[in-house]
Amino acid sequence: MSKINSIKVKQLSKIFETKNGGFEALSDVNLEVKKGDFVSIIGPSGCGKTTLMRCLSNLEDASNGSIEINGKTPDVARKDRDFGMVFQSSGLLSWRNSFDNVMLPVELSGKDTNSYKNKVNELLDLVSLIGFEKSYPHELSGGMQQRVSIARSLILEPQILFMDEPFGALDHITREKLNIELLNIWEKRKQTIIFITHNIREAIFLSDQIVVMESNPGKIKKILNVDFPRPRSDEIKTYSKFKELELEGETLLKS
Amino acid sequence: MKKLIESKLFPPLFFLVLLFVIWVGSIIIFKIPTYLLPSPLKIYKEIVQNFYLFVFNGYWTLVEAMAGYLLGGSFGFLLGSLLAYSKFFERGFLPYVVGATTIPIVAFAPLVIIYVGFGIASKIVIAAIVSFFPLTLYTLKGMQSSDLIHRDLFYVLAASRFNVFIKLQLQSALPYIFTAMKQTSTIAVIAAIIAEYIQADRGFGYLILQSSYVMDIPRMWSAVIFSCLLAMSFYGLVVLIERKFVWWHSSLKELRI
Repeated sequence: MSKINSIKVKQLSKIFETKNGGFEALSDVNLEVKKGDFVSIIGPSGCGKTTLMRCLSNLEDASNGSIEINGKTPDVARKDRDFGMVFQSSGLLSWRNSFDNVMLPVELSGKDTNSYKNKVNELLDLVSLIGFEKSYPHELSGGMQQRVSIARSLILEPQILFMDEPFGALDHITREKLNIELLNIWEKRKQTIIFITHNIREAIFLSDQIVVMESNPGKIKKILNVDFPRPRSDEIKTYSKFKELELEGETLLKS
Repeated sequence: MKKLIESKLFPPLFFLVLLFVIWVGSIIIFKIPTYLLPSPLKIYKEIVQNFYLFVFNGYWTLVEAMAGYLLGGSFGFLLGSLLAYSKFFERGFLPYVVGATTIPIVAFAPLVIIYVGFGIASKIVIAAIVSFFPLTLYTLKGMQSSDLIHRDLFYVLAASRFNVFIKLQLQSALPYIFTAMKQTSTIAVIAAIIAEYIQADRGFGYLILQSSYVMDIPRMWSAVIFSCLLAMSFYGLVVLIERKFVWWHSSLKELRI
């Protein structure tokens, strides 16, 4: 079955104007992501991962090249609400409780909030936060806040989900738990997910493809394919192929 | 002893008593006459004997200050919002708003009284003027200081300009708006009293000025104390309202060092 593209990036470059002239954050990035794929982007700090994601999500404009999201420009795709986004920090509104934070995208889209009430509760259940609907962000742990923000990104069922190191600030164990939760969510809904991480093991565990980037200027070094069967469990971390991929990834990142 | 020092009530009470001891002590030791510094007892007697006088004049000062505060504050909030909403208005108005904050109200007040008249309206306008500019500036500043990540979020979610304004900027501005409201609550009382110095037939400013002509020092002190109480309760009221609305803000949490 040949799948259609949900993201197509062609010869993308991004130059930031600074006092000392231009800084090339991205150079000649080419990428195609099939509908329903889970793609991780990995690379050292400053390699332009976040810049790439900000270009995809229309938070930055490309300096050169083109981006297509569902066959549209990022600006049109954003206005059509084709994608959702999870940021490095949860970005919850501190004056809203969990329920109202998850409801925010519905309110902003102008849809009827009453018809989404059940769905908000379902999503809070999905991210294991039943009983915390009325809790405010400052009453939740960092991991719980990030789960609220994941529920928030899913409420309008976007076809594409951009996740910028969503679990970067969390401890190892919470992170692995949330990875499994994320895989469960993804397997139920089959969104296209673009996932930025620093962690090669996390990338292998989650992804169909891993985009390895390098810095100065930021560009794609290599794309690794990961074809472990799904659904995946912790077991795959013991496979020798997993370790080979881990080694290959680490070598790519170091060189 | 440690318990007393750490208790909430003892430290302020201790210094209050100390103040009274020094006050009364110096009157006795240095034989200070009442027409220079009355004893607390004399002031107490004055207040009890003429309680209605203070309530009557206090009522009018309160009405002037409160009405001016609400009027000026509301318009300040509206102008601040407009400036935050539109770059054109911000560029056009902001220099003049900043310039206007430097006008000393004492210098300007006599003009207001000439233009607006001798009634309480002119006092309200003067209290409104001092409330207006801080509210404008703080509303604008607050609306411009929403978190970057929240702005990105609202942008990705394709929020309308109106929703960004109502659901993000207004909420982010609340801590700033209350800072201005606390500040102006006391300034509005001061402005009303200053206006009454210039021309009035009632209010604390009027009472203090009249008493000074006949060197009625206990009455002047009593009026000063009532003015303080008025400004303090006004301030306290705003603090209570603030806690209802911006409990989520970090400034209300104790700083641990």
